[in-house]
Amino acid sequence: MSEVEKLPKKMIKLKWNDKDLEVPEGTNLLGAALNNGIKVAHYCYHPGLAVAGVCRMCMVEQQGVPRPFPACNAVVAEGIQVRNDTKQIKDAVEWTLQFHLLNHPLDCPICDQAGECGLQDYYMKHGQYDSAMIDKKVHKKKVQDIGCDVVLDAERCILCARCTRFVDDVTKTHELGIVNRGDHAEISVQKELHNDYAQNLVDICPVGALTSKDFRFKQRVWFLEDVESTCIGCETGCSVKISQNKSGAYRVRPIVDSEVNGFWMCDDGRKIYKHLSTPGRLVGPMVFKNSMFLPVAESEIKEKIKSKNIKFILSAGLSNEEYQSFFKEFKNIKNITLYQLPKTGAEFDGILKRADKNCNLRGAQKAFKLAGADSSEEAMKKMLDTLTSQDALFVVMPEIVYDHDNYASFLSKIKKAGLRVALTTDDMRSEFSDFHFLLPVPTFLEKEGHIINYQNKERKLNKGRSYGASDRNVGDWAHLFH
Amino acid sequence: MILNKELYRHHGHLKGLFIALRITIKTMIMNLTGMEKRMTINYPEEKYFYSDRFKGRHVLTVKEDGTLRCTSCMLCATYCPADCIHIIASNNDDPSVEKAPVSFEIELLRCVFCGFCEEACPVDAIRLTGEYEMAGHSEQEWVMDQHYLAYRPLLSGGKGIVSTVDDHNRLKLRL
Ligand code: SF4
Ligand code: SF4
Ligand code: SF4
Ligand code: SF4
Ligand code: FES
Repeated sequence: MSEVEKLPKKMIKLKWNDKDLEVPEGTNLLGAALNNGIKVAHYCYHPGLAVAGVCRMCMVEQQGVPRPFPACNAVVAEGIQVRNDTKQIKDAVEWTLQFHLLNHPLDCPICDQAGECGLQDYYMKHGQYDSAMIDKKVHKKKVQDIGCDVVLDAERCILCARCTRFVDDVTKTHELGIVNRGDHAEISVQKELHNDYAQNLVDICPVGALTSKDFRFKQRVWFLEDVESTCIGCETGCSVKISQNKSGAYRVRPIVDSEVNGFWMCDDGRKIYKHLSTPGRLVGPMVFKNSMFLPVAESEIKEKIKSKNIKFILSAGLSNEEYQSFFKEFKNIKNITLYQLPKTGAEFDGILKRADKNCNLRGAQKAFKLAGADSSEEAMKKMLDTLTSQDALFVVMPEIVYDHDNYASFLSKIKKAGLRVALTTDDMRSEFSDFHFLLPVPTFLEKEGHIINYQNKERKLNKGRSYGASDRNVGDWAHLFH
Repeated sequence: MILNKELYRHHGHLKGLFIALRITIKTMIMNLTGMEKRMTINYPEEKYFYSDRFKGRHVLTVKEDGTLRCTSCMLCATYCPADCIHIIASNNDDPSVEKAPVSFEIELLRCVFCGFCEEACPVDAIRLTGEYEMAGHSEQEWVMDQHYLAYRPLLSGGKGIVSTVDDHNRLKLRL
C-alpha cells in the first residue's frame, strides 16, 4: 500500500432524495446509497465486482443533468443532488422490470431462489401485474449441469452479467460468457466450471438462473434460519452463515467481511455443514460391541480406564475456550499431544483457500504452550510409537478430514493402545470400529467460542441449533477420571 | 319428575301419554306412509353426498398421464396452520417437470380441514373432497401418503382425479 492510499480519504457530501449523505471520495454512487441503508432496486451492481450497468434498474435523476442515468455507473461528486423517487424514474424502473420479465418463465413454485429473488421482490414493489406481452415467450434450455455442482436455467437469467464478471475478474477462469443478441441472448458455457469458488455464482445470481445442486430442492428458503459463524474449513476462517432448521443444516454462505474474506468463500467451506445433522450423531456414550456401537453407561467406561495410563491426542479444531477448560480440568494428565491435519493443496490459492486445514492451530499452540505441553508433530509421533497395552488413549477427532490417507495411517498407529476412546460428534465413519468407546462432543455450530485464524485474528463461533449431544465439551468429560 | 302434571290429572295417564306424544306419533305416521319426506337416512346402507364445497379428506390430483401434479413447491405446507403437511422434494429427470415430491404426507389427525392448502396451491394439485367417512385405530392410519392421496380406489378406481387444467392447456393459456 502506498503512502497516498493510507491517507484518510476526503469526505464528500451529497443529497439522495431528501437524505444527506457523507461518503469517502471515489465511492460508487449506488454503493453510497446502499451503504447508507437506502433501498435501491438493482441487479447487476455487486460491490465485489466491476461495474456493468446493464440491468438499468438503478436509474436516477441528477439536478442539472438532462437525462436519467444508472447510479451504479457513476461516482459521487461534491454537492450533487440525486433523486430516484420522481414519476419519471419510477416509470423507468417499472418498464425496465416489465422488460426483464417478458420472457421470464415464472417458475417460482419450483425455483429455489423464491423467497430471496430480486425479481420477486421488485415485482411486488414496482411491478405491473398484467403482462404487456402478446407474443410467445422465448424458451431456452433449462436444468443444465454446468459443473462444480452449479445448475443453470437459461430461461430464468436476466443477463445481469454478474456471473461472467465473477469468472473473469475473481477466479479468472473465464468459463461463462453471454452470446447472441436481444431475446436470444443467453449465458453460454464455454467450458465446464472448474474453479474452487463456483458456489459463489449461486449467491450472486440475483435470480434463480444459477442454483446449487447440493441445496437444490432440499428446503424452501423461508423455512431456514441463518446462524452467523466462522468457517472451520481452513486457517483462513471466513465469516459464514449456516442455514438450518429443526430438520437439519442445509447450506453455508459467506458473510461480507472486508478484513478476512471480502465477499466470497471457497467451495470446500460450503461442505462444512454436512456432518452437523447426520443421522449418526451421538447422543450419549457408546461402546463397540458385536461390530456395532451401542449405548453404554458412563460407569462402565470409568471402570475400564481406572487402572490405565491415560493419554490424550487433541485435534487442532477446538475453540480457545475448549482448550482452556480442557487444560484446567486435566491438570494431572501429562501425556497430551496435538494431531494436526496435514497441508493439502497450494499454500495459498491467491483468493482465500489455504493449505493449512487446521482452523485453530494458533489457538491450540498457544494453549499448549501455556499449559507446558508439547504441540509439535514430533511429540505426537513419539507418543504413537510408545503406546502400550497399558494405555487408555483418548483421541479428539477432527471434525473435517481432507487427506484421508494420512488420517488412516494416523488411526492405524493408535491400535497399540490397550483401550481407545474417541471424542467425536457422530459414529458414521467406518474407521471408528478401531475404538472401544465413543464419547459425544459438540460440533462447531453447537458451542460459543473463538478460534484464531492465519492473521492471528480472533474469530467467533456461534451456537445454532443442536442435532446431537452438545451439552458436554471435551473438558466436561473430566469427571470420568475422578 | 313429571312435567305438566296438570295434563295427566285432567286426562288420565293413557290419554295424557298420547296427547303428549302427539307430534311424534303424527310424524311417525306421515313418514311411514310416505306422506312426508324423512329427514334421516338409513346410514350406512344409504350414503349422504355433500356438495363439492365440503372440506373433507384431501386428494392429490394427477396429470393426464397419471403422474402427480404436485410440484412440491411447499406453499401448502407453508400456509397450513396445523403444520400437518410434510413434503420431501426431489429432482425429477424430466426437465419439464424438474421438481416432484418423493414423499407427500398429511397427518389427518392434526388437520383442521380449513382448506388453506387448496387455496395456496398454484397448480390445482391438492383438493379437499366430499369424503367425510374417517375412522382408524393407530395413529399411523391417520397419516396419508401420496399414493393414498392420489390413487386410493375411491378416486376413479385408483386412477386418480385428473385436474381439468392440464399443463399443456395451462401453458397454452399463458402464452
Ligand atoms: S445467470 Fe444469473 S448472474 Fe449470470 S447473468 Fe444470468 S441472472 Fe446474472
Ligand atoms: S477459504 Fe478456508 S475458511 Fe474460507 S471458506 Fe474456504 S475453507 Fe473455509
Ligand atoms: S386443510 Fe388446512 S389444516 Fe388441513 S392440511 Fe390443508 S391447510 Fe393444513
Ligand atoms: S400440493 Fe400444490 S401447494 Fe402443495 S406442494 Fe404440491 S404444488 Fe405446491
Ligand atoms: S445496478 Fe445499475 S444498471 Fe444494474
